[in-house]
Amino acid sequence: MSDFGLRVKSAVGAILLTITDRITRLRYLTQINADTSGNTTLTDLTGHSTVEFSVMLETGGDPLQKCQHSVTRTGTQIAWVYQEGYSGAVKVYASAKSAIFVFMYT
Amino acid sequence: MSYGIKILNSDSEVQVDGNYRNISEVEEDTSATVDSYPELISVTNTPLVPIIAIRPSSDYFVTLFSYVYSDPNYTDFNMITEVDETSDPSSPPPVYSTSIDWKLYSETPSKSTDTHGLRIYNADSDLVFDAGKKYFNIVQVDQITLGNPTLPSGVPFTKPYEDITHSAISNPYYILSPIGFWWYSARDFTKYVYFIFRIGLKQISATSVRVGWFCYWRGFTGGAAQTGYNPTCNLITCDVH
Repeated sequence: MSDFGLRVKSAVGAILLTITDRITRLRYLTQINADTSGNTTLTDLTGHSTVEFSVMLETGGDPLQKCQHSVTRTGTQIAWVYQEGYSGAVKVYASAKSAIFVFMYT
Repeated sequence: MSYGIKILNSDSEVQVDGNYRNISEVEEDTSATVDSYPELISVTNTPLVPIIAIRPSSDYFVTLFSYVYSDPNYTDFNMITEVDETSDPSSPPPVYSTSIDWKLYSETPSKSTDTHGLRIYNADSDLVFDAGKKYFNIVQVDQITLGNPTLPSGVPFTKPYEDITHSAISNPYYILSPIGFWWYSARDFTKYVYFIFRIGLKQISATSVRVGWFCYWRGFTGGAAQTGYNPTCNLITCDVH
């Protein structure tokens, strides 16, 4: 057990926050339309570990054969790329609208 | 100075400061049934973007498929699970029944009802930490790359998976993204049958989880193809306090 830092407990003694926790902060959040790729630069990411991901947004219609955006980080740049695929001339899966999240945990 | 207090953990990682608000739990449910395609699970309507983490059961793979957004609110989320891929393709595939526990987190600008403890505001008087709330807490992040689903001659589909252990925490909640897409169609006597797959989760034990492809739909189509989007997935293992 650490003997320094902050420890927050509830009224019944449960630990709410302690020195080894990685409480997580949402740095960036946006909605991206289908068939749209792009990026943004977040200069304050320097020196921080992040996890970035997307969730498909359904705004009408069945997402049976739709895909969320891929999201990657390079340095301080967060980029998103829409996903679609074909078999010959037939579209097998289509791009969906996505919510993009970037969490900082250091 | 943009903050009035900064709290670091034992690895010098920031837990609380005035620059960013933390994300806390606002809604949850346990043993929610998932037995249809897709299983629509309602949440309290909110204009704040939710972050939903799930705890799967050990019987069938599940994955969080999508959030349902009806401007300006998030209203539901969709779950999918495994189907009987050996059933007659002329009718919708029977969906297996499983259950999940889930938690919804978001920014929570209002303070808790607690009358004791610690509450921190930033320079704009926005609430950034409140001891009366349960905060979203990443315990572990794993990146998983799987092979494609395949159909060796004369045997069922081979659906790649990987088992992840998180010995630091028992019975956590997870976020998996992206969930991929794989299409496999082949001739079955006189017709072509297609199967589609996503990547999901199945609990193995209190301290381990399986990440793998599963079939969530199939039917008739016009030709043979094997194609899809098979990304490296992020498995985010979460706890709350």
